[in-house]
Amino acid sequence: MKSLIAFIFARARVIVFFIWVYALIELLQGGRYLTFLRPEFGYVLGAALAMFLAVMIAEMGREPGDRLHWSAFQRPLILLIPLLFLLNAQGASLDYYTFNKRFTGTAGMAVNVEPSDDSGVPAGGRAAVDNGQAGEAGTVSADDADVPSSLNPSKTDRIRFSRKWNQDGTPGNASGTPSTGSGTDVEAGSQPPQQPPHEPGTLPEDQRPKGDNDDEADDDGTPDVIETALTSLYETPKLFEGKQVSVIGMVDTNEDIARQFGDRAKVLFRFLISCCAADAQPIALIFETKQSTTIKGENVWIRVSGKFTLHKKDGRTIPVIREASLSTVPRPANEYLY
Amino acid sequence: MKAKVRPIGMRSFIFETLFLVATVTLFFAGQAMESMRTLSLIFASIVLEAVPFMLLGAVVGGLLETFVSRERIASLLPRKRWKTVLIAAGLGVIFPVCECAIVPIVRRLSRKGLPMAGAVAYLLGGPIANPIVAGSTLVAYKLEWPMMAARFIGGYLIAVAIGLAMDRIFRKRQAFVDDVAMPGAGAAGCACGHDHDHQDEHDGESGHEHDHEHEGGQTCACGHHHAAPKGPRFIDKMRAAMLHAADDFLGVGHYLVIGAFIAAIAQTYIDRTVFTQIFQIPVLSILMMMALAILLNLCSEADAFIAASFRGIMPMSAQLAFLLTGPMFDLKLLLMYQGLFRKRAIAALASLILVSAALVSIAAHYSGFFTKVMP
Repeated sequence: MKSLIAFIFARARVIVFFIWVYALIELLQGGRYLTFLRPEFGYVLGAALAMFLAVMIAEMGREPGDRLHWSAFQRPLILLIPLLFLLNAQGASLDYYTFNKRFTGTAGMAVNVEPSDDSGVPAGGRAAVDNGQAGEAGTVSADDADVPSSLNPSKTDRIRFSRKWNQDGTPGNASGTPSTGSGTDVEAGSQPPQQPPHEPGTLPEDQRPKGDNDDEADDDGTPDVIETALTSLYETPKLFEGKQVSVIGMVDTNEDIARQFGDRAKVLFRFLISCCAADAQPIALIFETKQSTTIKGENVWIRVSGKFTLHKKDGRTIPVIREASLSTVPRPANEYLY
Repeated sequence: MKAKVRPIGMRSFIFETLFLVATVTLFFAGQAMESMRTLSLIFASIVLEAVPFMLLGAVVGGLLETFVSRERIASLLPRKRWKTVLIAAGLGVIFPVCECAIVPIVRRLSRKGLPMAGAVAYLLGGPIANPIVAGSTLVAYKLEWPMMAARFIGGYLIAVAIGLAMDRIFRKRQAFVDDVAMPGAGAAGCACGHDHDHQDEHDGESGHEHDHEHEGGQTCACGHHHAAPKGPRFIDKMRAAMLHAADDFLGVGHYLVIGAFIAAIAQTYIDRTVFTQIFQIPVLSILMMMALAILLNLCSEADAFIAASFRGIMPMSAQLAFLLTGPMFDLKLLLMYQGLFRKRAIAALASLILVSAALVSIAAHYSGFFTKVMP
């Protein structure tokens, strides 16, 4: 036992480097690092892995020091603390907790719809408005479960709307599993190609706004609903105005928004990251629904489908999805927008 | 080559032990907390993002140590110190590094004879005045150049000014910690500044002996025998370089972790709306954005995107203050600087950075720089 402790003290550095090497291999497998970092960081972590290996091998050839002291052990040990917390964060995601801390109110949701607009900054996170607490959430219910969808029923059938889901109680249904394509319509280039394409029939070519950053195009249906990403709605709001859109994200309620837009208004949000989860900014979109369903919770992802409108208030233009219907979807493989 | 046990001060020993105990306790006791997952995620993210770059800095530093002799560096340096400062502050254009990587590199360069003024200038200017950061700033601001230009030029000027100021203040006293300090550069203790270029036997100008005993049992920072064989093979040099890298990484790594943890706490619990309610008062919003930069500890290559998200709710000058402060001074850098500078030097450096970043931003605000050049 004593010799084991002596060994650990003498070899603390090698052990720490070894654990980091192991942790990086684990993170790189199956893209687990995507919980923390944007996809391009795979290369950076790969380089770090190589450097850790080189340093570890060099360290292995070093004679252990003669004076062993707790301090020789303590500092390397501190380097393992983040890995301990990393275990905790595996499979976790930034959710409504983070959203509430970072969302700064409706002023940041305003879009610029001037003709010469080079697009509104897709930031749900900028406002001088007080952020209401979304404490009481949990179950969000409305008085009426009826969906007054303005959609043509023949079209609604094809888009697995939540009504159907709620009545059946089964997420999988006639039109197939819900699309997990988190970034189906996110900017091309930043999106790794593993995303599954849209369901057939949800993306009519003739109604897709030109200039949208869509990367896939499987357009074999009739015009109905544009499946898109939150970022696209903020980048080119004019192109989507008045159209039926469908986006996925997580849901929260917000007092400030409820006060301005009524009790049926809720917020759909996702996080936009530029390097790592620490710089995540919420992108939030208001939607109105009459539907009664439990939509808030840890890792609950929903699809909101409804009419995309631009709401003018106090000199600002804020996008709102009206008469939205909801359905839960699996958490996308790539939960962040980049 | 023996593993060295660097004696650490009682105070930092207690501090680090407390950190270990506190984080492990929090980990096991806080599992039921709602914020725990967010905290873990953000903490791990900051460390995962920074560690590769810091390791890269350590490896580059190790290679510098082994393959570039002190004479080589000395021959590259201009005679005049102010020229050194002017060049060092803009060195990021050729060697772009972010603020995590630059600390170990500057450690090595200083031990190779780069004067303190130049070290400070590169330390502060490198992470801002470099093409990668300029590019990310430009993209974050939708290709509008004024913010990028203000940041680049402001960062460079601040780096030059502080480099020269630190040179003045610490002309007589030692600014570096012992294992970075140079022989003859100050009155202070162990100045293991010899050349680790094992092939040539040279005499430092101070006549520093190569196999000296350090007083007070203090180990020499480089930790190897200097009676190395002449003309070592490439593989041996690489091994030595990697050992230097390991020393450097472990020499500042724990500071990064502690700083990242404090930053994660701030990121998890601070409500962003706090920062958005005072935007009418320019000076106050500048100070608030500087405080935010210190608390968030973002990488200098990513922080422009956060700053840009404050467009419309914070004045441009306050965003500039955020972009100037973060890469020069934040919580993790405050801790990492302890592997480089003495306490007094850190205090001087921090006050100089904060004052000059605030002054540049206030000047940008009241000169109407952003309102004139931006529609």
